[in-house]
Amino acid sequence: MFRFKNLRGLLLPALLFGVWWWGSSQEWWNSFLLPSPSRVGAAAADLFRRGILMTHVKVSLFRVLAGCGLAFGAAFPLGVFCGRSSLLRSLVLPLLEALRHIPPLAILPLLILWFGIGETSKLMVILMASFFPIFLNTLSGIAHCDTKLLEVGTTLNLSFRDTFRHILLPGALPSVLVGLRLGMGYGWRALIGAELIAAVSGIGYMIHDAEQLSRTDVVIVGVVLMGILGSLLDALFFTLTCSLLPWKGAKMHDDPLV
Amino acid sequence: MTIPLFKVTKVSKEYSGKGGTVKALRQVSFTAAPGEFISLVGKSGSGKTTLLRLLGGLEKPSAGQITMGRKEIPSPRIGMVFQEPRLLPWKTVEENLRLSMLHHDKTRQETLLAKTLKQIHMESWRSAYPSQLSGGMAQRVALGRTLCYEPDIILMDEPLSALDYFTRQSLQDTIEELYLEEKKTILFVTHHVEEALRMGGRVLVLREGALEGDLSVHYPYPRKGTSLSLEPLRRSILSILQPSEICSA
Repeated sequence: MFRFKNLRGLLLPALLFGVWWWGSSQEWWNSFLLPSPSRVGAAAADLFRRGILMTHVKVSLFRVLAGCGLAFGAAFPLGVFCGRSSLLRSLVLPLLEALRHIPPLAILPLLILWFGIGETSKLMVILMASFFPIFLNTLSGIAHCDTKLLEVGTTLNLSFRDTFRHILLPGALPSVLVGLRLGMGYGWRALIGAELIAAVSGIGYMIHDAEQLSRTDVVIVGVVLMGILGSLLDALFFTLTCSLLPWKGAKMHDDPLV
Repeated sequence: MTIPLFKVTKVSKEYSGKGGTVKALRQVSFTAAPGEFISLVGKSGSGKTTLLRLLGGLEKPSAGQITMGRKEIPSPRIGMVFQEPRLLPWKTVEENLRLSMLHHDKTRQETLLAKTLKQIHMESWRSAYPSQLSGGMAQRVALGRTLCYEPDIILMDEPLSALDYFTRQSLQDTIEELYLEEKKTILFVTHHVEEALRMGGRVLVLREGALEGDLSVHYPYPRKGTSLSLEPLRRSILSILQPSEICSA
């Protein structure tokens, strides 16, 4: 359903666009530093017509989805086990806490050395960036599962498998989904960084290449595209979240992040 | 003499913490026969919930013994209704009821589901989520979930305490109907003396963790807890709970 809240969200971008358009037409700044909207639009149309834009978008989207998928595959089970076992938590958390503070791009040189300049090193960067939000939110969701509901499972004599399926997992799901949403955002940002340094395709590469050719209009196309794609992914993910959490109903739409 | 379905022998429970040790239960002993409806009454903090949690297997006694079962029912199934409904918010009414029937096949589940929904008067709410239910409705579903489990013993921990007067009356009637229909062994915890007398065929009085009274209520259902014929029992219970105030009254 159409909501005025969404329309309000467009006001500020429209205002910024207006200032950008007006400032460019009045030549408030050097057009090399910040080209006019029409020049950026023309560059985007040209890249799109020649198929370059879609090639880079497809490559970047594949990387971010594959990287986040791998991160989920590693972070979710570990988060579940750590959420249920204080022994495992005490073994694993100190190391992970130290690793969490290392920016993935800082070890990109090592990753390139180990995995080469191909896809693997970029996927590893995304995996490292997305892993922690997914892991920590899964751990929190499982560890903070309502003990009163777990007691219901005990009184009904549920097996661990049934308790996990019917109580633990659905109880932790909102937290897991928040982790996944954050993880995708982190992965997206890390991907662009990785593509800026070591890639021959992708939106990050397109920006880097345009910088070498002094094409600021193409740089802006890349930057705006990143923002739009990131928001679209987030919106898609939110829709998925709503369908996975039907019991949340209208409360989902009160999410301050939406 | 009737062989009991469960037996509580000199059970004590202590909780240790930074502030020292708290004795929640002191040497409590009683038995419950099959089909008996026992009300357990006491003030807040008298150990009622602790006793129920021990019987439900959610906690272990510090001392004493709880023996469950008899020859015909060696290990009775125990169902529990909590003070708050504790429904799974992500499951509909029907799914919440099905949770306690996972051990049954589909056909049995359907039969039991239809029967229970009728018993708790919630047939038209089977697809609703708990957030769409009133407090009374949610507590009915919680009761239904326990019934679907087909327990031999039902433990009820102040299930009506958070409800308004009318909803409370209505649920008291429902529980009474269920008891008369199914004759399960019920242990019903309450801090309302009138409610204890209205519901139970026997009233156990707990004071400061010790069992201070065990009274039989020989009056046919349906009853009113405020009925004049129950007044002597009510006074007896109050004299146990607050001896000084009754004496001075």
